This record gives sequence, C-alpha cells and structure tokens, in this order.
Amino acid sequence: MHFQALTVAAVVACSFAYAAWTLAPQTLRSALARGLSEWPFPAFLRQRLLAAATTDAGCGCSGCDKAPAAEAKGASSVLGAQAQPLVFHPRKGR
Amino acid sequence: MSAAFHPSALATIALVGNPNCGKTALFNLLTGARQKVANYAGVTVERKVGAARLPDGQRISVVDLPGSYSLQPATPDEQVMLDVLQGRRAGEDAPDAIVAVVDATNLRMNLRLVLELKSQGKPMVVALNMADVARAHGLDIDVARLQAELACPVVETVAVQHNGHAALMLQLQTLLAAPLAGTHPPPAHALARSATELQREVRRILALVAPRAPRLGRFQHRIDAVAMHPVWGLLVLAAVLFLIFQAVFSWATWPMDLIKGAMAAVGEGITASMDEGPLRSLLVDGVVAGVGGVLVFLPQILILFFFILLLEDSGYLPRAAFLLDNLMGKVGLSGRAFIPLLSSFACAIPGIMATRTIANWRDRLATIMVAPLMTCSARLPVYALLIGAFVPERDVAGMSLRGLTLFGLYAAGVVSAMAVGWIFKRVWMKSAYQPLMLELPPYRVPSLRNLVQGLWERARIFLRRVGGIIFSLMVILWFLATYPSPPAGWDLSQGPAIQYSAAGMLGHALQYVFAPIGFNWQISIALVPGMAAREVAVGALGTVYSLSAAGSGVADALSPVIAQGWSLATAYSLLAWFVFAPQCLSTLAVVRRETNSWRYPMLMAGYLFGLAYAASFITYRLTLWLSV
Repeated sequence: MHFQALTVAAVVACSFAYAAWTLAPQTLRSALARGLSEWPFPAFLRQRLLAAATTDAGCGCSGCDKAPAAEAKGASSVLGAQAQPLVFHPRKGR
Repeated sequence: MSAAFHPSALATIALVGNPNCGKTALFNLLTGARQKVANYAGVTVERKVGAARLPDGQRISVVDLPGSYSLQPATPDEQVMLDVLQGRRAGEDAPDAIVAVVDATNLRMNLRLVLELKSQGKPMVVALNMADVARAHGLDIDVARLQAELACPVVETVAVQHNGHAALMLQLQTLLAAPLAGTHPPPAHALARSATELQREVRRILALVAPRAPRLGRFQHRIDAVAMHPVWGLLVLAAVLFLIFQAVFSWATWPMDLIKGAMAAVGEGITASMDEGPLRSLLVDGVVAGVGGVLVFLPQILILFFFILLLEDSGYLPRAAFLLDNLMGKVGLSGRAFIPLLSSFACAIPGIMATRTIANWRDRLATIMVAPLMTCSARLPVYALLIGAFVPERDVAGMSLRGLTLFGLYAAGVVSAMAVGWIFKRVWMKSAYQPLMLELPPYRVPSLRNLVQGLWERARIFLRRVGGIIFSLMVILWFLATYPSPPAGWDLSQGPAIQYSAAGMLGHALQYVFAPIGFNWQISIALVPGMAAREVAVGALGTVYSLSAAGSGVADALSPVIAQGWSLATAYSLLAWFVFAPQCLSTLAVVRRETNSWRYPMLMAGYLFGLAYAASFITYRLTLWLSV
C-alpha cells in the first residue's frame, strides 16, 4: 500500500510538471528553460533545456510547422512593402 | 531535424523553386526528414531547416522554402522565401548556395524563376526534378545545352526515388569545395529584366534544350472532363467524401474491437494481479479507462488519413478547390481559402498557417476565423463514441446510418464555416472577390512510399499525443477525481466517492452553467481537460465514469455506459457542442502567432463558445420536444 501511494505520488507529480510544461506559452517556457539550464543539472537534461530555450514552438499536430522566425530590423513585414497584390486585367475588346 | 542542430555553423543551401515542383520531397531525401508533401501547390508556407551529409562526409544545412513563381512576392509565404534568400530574417544568414528545383515536365513555367535567381549572384545548381516523369512523357531535355545556357551546373533528380539525389549531392560537394565568395557578380544582362523579357528568354532557351514540349495524356483530359464538370464533378466529389465516411466506420470495426479487447485484458490483468490501492485505481481507472479509451480510435483516424493522403497525392484536391470556388466566391471567401480549409480537416493549426498563401489580409483573417469550424481529426473520437452509443447500427438505402451521421457532422462543420464566413465578409471584413489562380498538377498514381510514410507519421503523432499530453492529463484528472477522499463512514449508498473529490465538486459547480444544454456533471468535468485537445474529453469521460461506477468494467466499455446513462437529447447536444466549441488551446495560440494580436484569438474563442452554447441549447430543447 505504501509502495503504491509513493509510486502514485511520483507519477502524479511528473504528470503535473509535464502538462504544465507542454501547455505553457512558448515565451514562458523559453524563459524558464533558459533559467533552469543554468542550474547544475545532468548534461543530457541541460542540453534538452538549452534546446527548448532556443527552438521555436511546434504543437506536434499534423503538418504543424515551427513558429516563423523573427524578422530582422528593417526587413519588410510579411505583408510589407515588397508584397505586391495580383492585378487582374480585363481582356481587350470586351 | 534536431533541436541541437545549429545551422549557422555549417554551409547553407536553400531549395528554391515553383510551387509543387518537389522541393519538400527533395528536402526529405536530402535530410532524412519527413515533412509533409502533396501533389498541389502551397503545402509549404514556412522555411524548414535540416542537416545533410555530402558524399565526402561534410555536413551542410538545407533550407526548404515555400514555392514561388517569381522574386516579386504576392503572398506572405512568397515573402518568407525572399526574406530568407536575402538574409533578412533575424538570426539567419543568407544561404551560401541555391539549389533551384525545377519541375522537368514544366520547364516553361519553372525557368523564369531560375533566371531571376541567377540575378541574385549566388552559387547555384539547377535540379531537374521529376526527370523520370519527363522521360516517360517523351520529353528529351538537352541537359548539357541547358547548363551552358544558364551558365550553372544542371543535374537530374528524382525526389521520390531512393538515391534519386545522388547527382545533386556530388554537384553540391564540388560547388562547396570551391571557396564560397558570398556572392558572385551577376551577369549584366540578368539584372532588372521585365517579366516579358524573362519569358522571351525562357522561350529562347526552351527552343534550344527541349523543342518538343510534353503534352498531357488524353487520359488526364478525360478524367478532368468528368472530375471538373460543374455538375458531374460535384457529384463525384460528394461520392468520394461519402465513401470516406462510410469506410471510417465499416472498415475500422475489427481493429477497434482488437484494441478494445486488448485494453480489457490489460485492465483485468492489473485487477487480478495487484492488491487494491491507489496505484491499481490509477492504472485501471486512469490509464486503461482514460488513455485506452482514446487509443481505440486510432484505426478510424488512420482510415480517414489514408483517403486524405490518397487524394492529396493523386492531384484531385486542387480540382475540388476549383469546383468549389464558385461557392466560396458566393460566401465571400477567397478561392484560395479552399486548401487551408481542407488542411483544417486534419488539424486547424496547419490550416491556419496555410492561410499565408492568401494575399488579401481581410480574406486571410476571415479564413483563419472559420478554419476551426472544419472538423479536425481530434473530433473524430468524440463523434465516433457518441455515434457508436446512440446511432443504431443499421443500413438506410444500403448505406450505414452511422456513416451517414458522421458525414452529416462533417457537412455541419462545412456549412457553419460557410455561414460564418458569409456573415464576417458582409459585416466586418468586406473586400472585393479575389479570383482563384492555382496551378493544376497532373494526376499521378499515389506513391506507396508517401502513403506509408504519411500514415506512419499520423500514427506516430497520435501515439505521441496519447502517451504524452493525454496520459499526463488523465493522471491529473484521476488524481483530482480521487482526492479528497470521501469522509470516514462513507458507503456507496451515499453516492459515488468521486462526488467528494476536487473534480466532482468542480463538475457540480460547472453543471449550473451547462445544465440548460443538458450536460451532467460528468460531462462538465470532461470539458475542462478537453480544452487541451478535444480527444482528451473522451478519455476524461472514461476516467470519470470509471471512478463513478461501483467497481464495474467501465474501463473497457464507455459506450454502453453513456448509452444507458444519457438521454438522446444530451448526446445530440454534446455533438452540437463539439461542432463549434474551440476546445483546443494550441489553435488559439497559433491564431495569436499568425495575427500578432490577442484580439483575434479572444474574438474567435468568444464567438465559437457562444455558437456552441446556442447550438447545443437549440439541439437539446428541440430533441426533448420531439421526444415527448
């Protein structure tokens, strides 16, 4: 019984941590990962934290892309100056 | 692709080309990635980075870019291509070399971009992709002459064939072995040429290297005469969709029974071999009832995607877009909205991202706002559970009633999306109609490799979700539905123990909100974790009912339990809820990212919850009234 209670406590705690981490907004997760990566964790864990801090979000859904990279200062916006709308011309003689 | 991979430390090559010329297939071949490929334009809307190893062992970074017809961007995805190519993305250098991917069967369309890319002055290799198809069509391309005319190396590739990129790898090795001087001064004649001049140049080159242009086979024209006919075409489309939903129910029976049987055996095995205690309850009521309850729907999801992948690879989908363009135009949505809305049948997130192919902001926003109304695959477990419990297994005019109901639910999503789009476009996002211009790809026999890879990818994603977020949420729900324990002296005659737990109390509190639409406290609890992902609601119902039952085998049989416990009105009301409710936090997060504002996801959540409540209320009351 004691063993069961201890195992359940560990599984529930891990599940809470995992769900909170997975569902947290990307900015919060990156900041947290950056902060935690400075702690003396084992190398494999630090590596994963560093990766989580630097990579873009992805939801794991079908075909889901990574988040778009930030644009450099001065770059044209997604619908900025360089984007040119298509212009349709009626056929001559109509 | 790996998270530890740092692209900036390696030489970078960018795959650039027209839409649907096989860039992503080539990217997958070069890097071993499994990015989505399909036989229509606009599948890739964001750059993707991977690592490849050249024959000499040198590692390079490969960037797959959205397709574009020219270097004059007209849509946001084309802008992404230009920004990456010219090094205007934060933290990303411009690529060291370009691989101009060209559809060998359509040089007339593809060579213009190659000429424009030449004007960028970067080291470049031209990959004549689908060289095997071109040869099969009788197109003889003089590669040496093309190389001389373009003044850069030209190699043949077959991106869907193992080792179909060998010549490209060797060429890249040679190209990168030479010192990369950053940019080469472009030839003077390549600069500042108008579209007309470029097209004239393309015609001149074509006359030299491929004087006999390939023609589409008569067979393709015959198919199109039916598939794109304004009347027959629509009937074919309806029949195809109908067949899919019939198959989802009829084909999935035995594998679903197999998984159910396995789950039941696991539950019984745990009960028999373990003493009563919290761990046994967690495993039986939380993991087997919750996670197992979702896992059962894997066969139905795979059958649905089998058909979607088949249609994607065959080249039929863009034809369906043209067939429905008239309807989309009447609603006020852009014809280009079809592909994003179609992608939303798999998941709203790639669908919302695919709206980048829509140039007009108002059209794009309207499409984003209605995309979550399309029936994503996460709704399938909920629909299948309720249909299985409440719709009798009988045939109507030779068709399964369950399949018909599922078809109706999918149709309800489409009709709602059109109705909401119509309202949005008339009261808020008014804009002129944008005609649909989409290159129709040739029909192709679906590639077995793509099909298997796509299904495997779907299964992997589903199992990862089941083993990750769904498992963890089920454990949390089990914990909240088990503790606090009932007071000392409690016995079963006072009601199930779950009513004393945190989740039980939350469910009873939420019932005040949901009682008018017929939801009981168990459903109210299930809707909360269901916000993370819709299918979680099914697992949550399994756990809640398992803990509510007095030791019966609910773990492996949720369907009969709800069939006995719920009224028909409650079941229909819950179905109506799931047609509209935005029970997906990831979708709202992506809308925030794509619109760069919290305003739109808030608005989306508000209007969709409002619609869901209203639809459920009407459905519930109407069914009650009709049942009297």
